[in-house]
Amino acid sequence: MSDRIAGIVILIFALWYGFGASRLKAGFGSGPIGPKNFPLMLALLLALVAIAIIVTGSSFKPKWPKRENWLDIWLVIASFVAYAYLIVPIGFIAATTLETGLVSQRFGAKWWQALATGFGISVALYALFVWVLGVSLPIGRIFRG
Amino acid sequence: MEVLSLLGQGFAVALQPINILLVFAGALVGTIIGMLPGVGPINAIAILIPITFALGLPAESSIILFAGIYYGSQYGNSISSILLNVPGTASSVVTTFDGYPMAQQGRAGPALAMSAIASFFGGTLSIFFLIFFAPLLSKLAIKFGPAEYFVLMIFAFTALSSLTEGNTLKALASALFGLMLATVGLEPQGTTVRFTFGQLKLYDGLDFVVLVIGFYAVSEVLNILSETQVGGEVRKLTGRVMISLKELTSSLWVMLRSSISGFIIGVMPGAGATIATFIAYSTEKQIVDRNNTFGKGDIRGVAAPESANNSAAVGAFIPMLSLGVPGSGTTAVILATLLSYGITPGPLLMQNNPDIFWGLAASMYVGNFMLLILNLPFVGLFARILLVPRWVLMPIVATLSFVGVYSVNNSAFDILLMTAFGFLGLIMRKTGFPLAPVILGLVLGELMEVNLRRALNYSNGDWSTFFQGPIVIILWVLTLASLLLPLALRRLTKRAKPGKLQGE
Amino acid sequence: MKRFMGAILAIVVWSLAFAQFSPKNTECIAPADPGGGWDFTCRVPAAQVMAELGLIPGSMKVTNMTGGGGGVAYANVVTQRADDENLIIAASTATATRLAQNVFAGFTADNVRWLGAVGADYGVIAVSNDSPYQTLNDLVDAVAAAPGDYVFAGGSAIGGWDHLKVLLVMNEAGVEDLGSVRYVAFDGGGAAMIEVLGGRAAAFTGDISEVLAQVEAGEIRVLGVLSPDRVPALPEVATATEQGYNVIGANWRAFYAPPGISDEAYNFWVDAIKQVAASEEWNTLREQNGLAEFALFGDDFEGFVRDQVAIIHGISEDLGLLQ
Repeated sequence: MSDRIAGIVILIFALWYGFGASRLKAGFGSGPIGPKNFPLMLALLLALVAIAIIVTGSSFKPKWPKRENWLDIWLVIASFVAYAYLIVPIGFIAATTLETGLVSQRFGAKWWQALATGFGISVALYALFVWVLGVSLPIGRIFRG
Repeated sequence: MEVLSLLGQGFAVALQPINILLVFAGALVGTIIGMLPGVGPINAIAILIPITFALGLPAESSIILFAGIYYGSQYGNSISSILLNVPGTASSVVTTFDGYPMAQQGRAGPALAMSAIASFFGGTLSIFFLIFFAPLLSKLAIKFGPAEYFVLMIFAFTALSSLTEGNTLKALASALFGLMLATVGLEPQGTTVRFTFGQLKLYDGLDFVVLVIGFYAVSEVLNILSETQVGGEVRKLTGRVMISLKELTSSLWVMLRSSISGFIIGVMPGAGATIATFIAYSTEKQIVDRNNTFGKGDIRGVAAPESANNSAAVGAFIPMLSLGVPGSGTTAVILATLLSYGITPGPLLMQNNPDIFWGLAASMYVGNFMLLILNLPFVGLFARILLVPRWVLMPIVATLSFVGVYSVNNSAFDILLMTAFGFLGLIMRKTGFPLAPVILGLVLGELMEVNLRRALNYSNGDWSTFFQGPIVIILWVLTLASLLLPLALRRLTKRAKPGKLQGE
Repeated sequence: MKRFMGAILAIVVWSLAFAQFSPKNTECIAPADPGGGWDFTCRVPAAQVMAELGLIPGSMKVTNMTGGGGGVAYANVVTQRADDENLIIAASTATATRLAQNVFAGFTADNVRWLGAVGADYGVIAVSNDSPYQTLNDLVDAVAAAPGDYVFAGGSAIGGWDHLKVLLVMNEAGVEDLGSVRYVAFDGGGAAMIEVLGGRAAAFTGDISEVLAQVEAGEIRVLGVLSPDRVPALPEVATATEQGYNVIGANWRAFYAPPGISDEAYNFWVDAIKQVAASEEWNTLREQNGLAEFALFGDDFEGFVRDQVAIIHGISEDLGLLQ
């Protein structure tokens, strides 16, 4: 049953993608095959595969996580999103300490272990990337005065 | 014999104390960089270029240093793939297929040792190919036009059959999704923008690193979170840390075949090491995987991609040195370095600057040897990383993912993308859609489309161009063989007495 | 307290800057991956030579900001870092081409301040050594007679700079339907050259620095150089102008600065680039990399970029490249 649902989702995706591809305009001098032909081929193929999945079905049973695990998953995902928005304003070290601490705590660390781990990892990686490898990471807008 | 005396001169260059020091430094830095996702050898080399100028290093010494970083990173890449299921680059994705299951079974030691040995095997064997066949192969590279590339991509696509994990339709859907992801961004031929939703950041398409880390590292963290009770158990290392002789001998032919195919694919500019690993893996699965152990922790599944990607890395030097066309991002940077020394790589390089060519070849040999003795003693130490508690290890995986992804484009947007793909990866794992075909599709997508369009542009829309010329025919024969051979082999083994051959 | 100190510091710095701009923690953004032309422009003439000449304190940080053919960096500079006086960004003719074709999501050449150029790579049209064509006239006449039979290979996308160079020459030759001139795009000049060497494409369109090695090896023959005068690297090759096609195609390497910087900072960078362009260090490196002299700074350069953008916009519109 779950495969049939997946098949329907994929079919909708393929149609949406194909619709998007069909509206592309070919530019000047792009030759016999323009920018939309290859995507259209892909959309057609994926639609056929999706229909095949729906028709054949299967006895595949997905193992969905338990409710408390879902809670963990959503929390970690939300923290990743928050991290993306915080890294530039508060800087790499502060953002990473918080984020890494949270992940560590979710994997069973006590809060002080989690914060120490987070801080240790973020400082070590900052040192490695910025000073050794010369990759630039944000210091944080709030520290620039 | 002339080759030998030239090679002797090369070793005279490579064995100068300063150059030995540089190749060692390069190999070490490369290994560390390779272990970190996101940061590739390109970054390190770009940073070092002004320093080598400032130090007044001669051209051959700079190239020796940079080449050391390049293949050092190939060694390092496999370490995080095997231990953490975090491939640092696209070319080490395949190593996770069997390397990570081995680590989970407590056999991280042999997996790491195998990866170092296979890398050495591929790296050194290909140097001999480089020395003896460079002029010949550069002619082959010229013969390789868009039609040939397109059929090569079709051949590479048959690797899909070895990545199905049961349901062929689901694998096909995954692969098509990967191909679709490759179409995001400014189209490769013109100025039409596709599927970017107005995001300027998507104009250059989805970055491999962002996708690979999202699909593998992030979804792995989420997956573990979804399965374990909080706290989780600490993994154990069981059995030997070192590789056994039996494991080594069982992989000998695997490494030889993978090195040869990897090298040839590496020579084609643009095809690259990633495609070489997929082709080597699926070829070996079809030839030696009689008990269906590939993908479940078979050491030969580590040997194949690791010898192939190192061999391809050396192969990529041929078009760079003899044609001035870089076969990969890293060789492009090395090419730029040579240019800034006033050396223009091209057909006359071997004549005009023998020190560069032969010194480089000899130093690659020295460097690979060094990497082997540098890596093997640390296998036990690296394997022990898995004994670190989960609440330390998982944050490290997450943070490495962040830094890796962020540093590619200095863009927080990429972290959002990575998270989205991580979640999608989790859903796909749970619903039984394999992830590897997505990466295969992503790798092949642009090359496939762009060469299809170029070839048809040349032929004015005549599709028969894909069936003309000797190289194209050979590639079609290989494609058919790789589709039909497994069926034939299955029949043969069914007829033969069933017995365990090399199962682990 | 900290804020207060910060404010005082800011006033001090501001008043100093008013007198004379002094750079610190300088940065150059290369809007592409390492290894390409923009990366070179940041790392060699800016980071390396400026530091060697002592024009900037310490070293200059080079950041690679890939995306949108330079568009991501352009948008970032205009919207996020508009008043960063310590920042310069590498640019080239490709930047102008994209600005002219409106590919930078609504940004125009007026959104930044153009500083100056340090060199240029002139365009070439070349063929394989066993090709029957000896001069640009031979080739152009043949193509004009039967455009469907010839394919040009180049390293930029359709509508990009390498493609435009061919169209400009054909336009000069009086070809009416420029859409009939066939062009296949490859990833960089080297890959396009392989097509000519392999006999799949009739001619190559690219820059001088891309052909030198193959010319030296006798594999490739350059039919015309798109420069005002003959170039020292290829003294025996006639310019396109000499052969009757008045086309000059210079792929210049230059820098721009964020729009909101003070005139002092602007003048500082213009002067620094001037000194680089005049230095022996840079001129040696420039020649080694096959770049010709191309010196335009400050207001002159700003005017030049505006004109070029307008010209390319006009051509692109005529050709139907703009949608």
